[in-house]
Amino acid sequence: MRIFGFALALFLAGFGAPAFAHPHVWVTAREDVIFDNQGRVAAIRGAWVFDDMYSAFATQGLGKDGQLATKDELAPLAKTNVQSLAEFDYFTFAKIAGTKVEFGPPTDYSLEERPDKLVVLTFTLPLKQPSDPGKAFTLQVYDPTYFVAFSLDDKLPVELLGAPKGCSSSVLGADPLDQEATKKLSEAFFANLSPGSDFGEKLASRVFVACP
Amino acid sequence: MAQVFHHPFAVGGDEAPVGRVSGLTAWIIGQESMFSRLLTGALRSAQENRGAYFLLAGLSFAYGVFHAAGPGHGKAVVTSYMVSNERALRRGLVISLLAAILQGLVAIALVGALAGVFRVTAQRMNAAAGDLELAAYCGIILLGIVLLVTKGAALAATVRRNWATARVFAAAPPRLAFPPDGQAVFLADGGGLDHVHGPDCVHCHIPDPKQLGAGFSWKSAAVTIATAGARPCSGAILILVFALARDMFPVGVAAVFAMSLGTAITTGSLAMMAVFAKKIALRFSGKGSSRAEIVGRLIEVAAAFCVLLFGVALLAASFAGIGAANS
Repeated sequence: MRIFGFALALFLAGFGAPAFAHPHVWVTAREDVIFDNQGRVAAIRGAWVFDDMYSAFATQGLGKDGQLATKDELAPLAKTNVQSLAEFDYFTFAKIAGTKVEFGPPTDYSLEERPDKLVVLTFTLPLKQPSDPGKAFTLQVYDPTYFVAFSLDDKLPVELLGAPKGCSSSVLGADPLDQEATKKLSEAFFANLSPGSDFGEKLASRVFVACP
Repeated sequence: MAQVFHHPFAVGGDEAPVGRVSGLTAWIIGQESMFSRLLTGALRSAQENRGAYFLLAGLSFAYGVFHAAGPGHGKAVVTSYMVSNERALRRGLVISLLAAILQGLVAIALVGALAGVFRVTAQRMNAAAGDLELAAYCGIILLGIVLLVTKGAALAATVRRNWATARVFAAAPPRLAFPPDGQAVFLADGGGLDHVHGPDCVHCHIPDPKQLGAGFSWKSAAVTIATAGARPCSGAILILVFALARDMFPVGVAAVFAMSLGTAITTGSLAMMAVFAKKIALRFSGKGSSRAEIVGRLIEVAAAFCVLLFGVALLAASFAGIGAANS
């Protein structure tokens, strides 16, 4: 029996171990929280700036004669992206007082190549039920499969649009996989992750929105 | 295993997702991430600074070593094939190396032809990579079936022979007989003096381990190399497309080859570990005994079954993904 245990362990090492990837795509995200005229959170608008590698991949074969790729040229890829995003909850995870917020399909979306040749995906995600944010509206953007590493924009991570007076936002949690910080990332950080921790979620910073 | 839906920002095929990880796995991801960032950084600076070429090659190599440490399907196929079919270490290393080089070549051909010559879009390239992926998965299934049939037959033959031998020997243990004419003879098979084994005996009742062990065919080795290497990795495609966009495709090609060498080292080590593990398992069950022989055969059949199962699971997941993308 010991032999079979041994053989089994061997196969588990080959197959059963949790498959993993590491980030191949890096996104710097800006998330806008859009309020309706009753002071409820109505939608989240994401503007995701891709790294130069993925941008080169997304724009290959587009942009005639060295011109930037146009929105129209990028529209088919944008459609593919957003359709597939639906299967992954749009990588956008919001909670109000601990309860998960449900999103409907995006009302608009587009891919754009900026003059600096970085590609930006913009889409607006309406809440199924516009909700009063109360004191504890939280928002995280991450890829649970960790193929994409998200970080929030340093200068303007989140903006509240049409928010009632007195609402404020803050961002918690340093992003250890920030492009520069990655180089300094120690082994200890990874070794100390608790067993069973979800990588993408663990590394995502959290946006807090509070209204009076 | 493979994820069910295609990733929204997939590059080439789908990469295996990160599940719940800790410890060593997490550490490897950390190393991969670090080398990935350093590597892309070196590629960016290689444009202005030619001294960065060597750095780039070294980083690509290191990235290949760590990237291959995860149980992607290439590694799993090569390792299971080794368990099921191989006892020769050197051949396992050659197979690992060829698979890694093929994987690099496929990425180079894919990007060079599709992006460089035909200037296709990202979706078209993903579709082409997807076709390669499907072909590879079908190849894994084929390999699994072939291995399962040959190894299953070998197991059946071993069991049947051991059973027959045991029955015969139990009935009549082999012995030396001394007939009245004085010439000693060896008796087996429960036969009388009419079945005598003398020095001129040519029929062998004990299996020759060499005949049992080999079963090596370049055909199944070639299928292993092809299926393990057919699916280009996202990292290589990204590097090549980026290099192409910056008019330094040859630099990208060199980086991908360095990566392939790194990958070959990891896959080769895993293949060696697989062969050693099998040897140890056989030693534990009593080297040379009939039990060891049957255990060895069972391990081989199980590994062959794993190859088949793996191919079916990957193919099923990939069809589920296509269904989701089209819906």
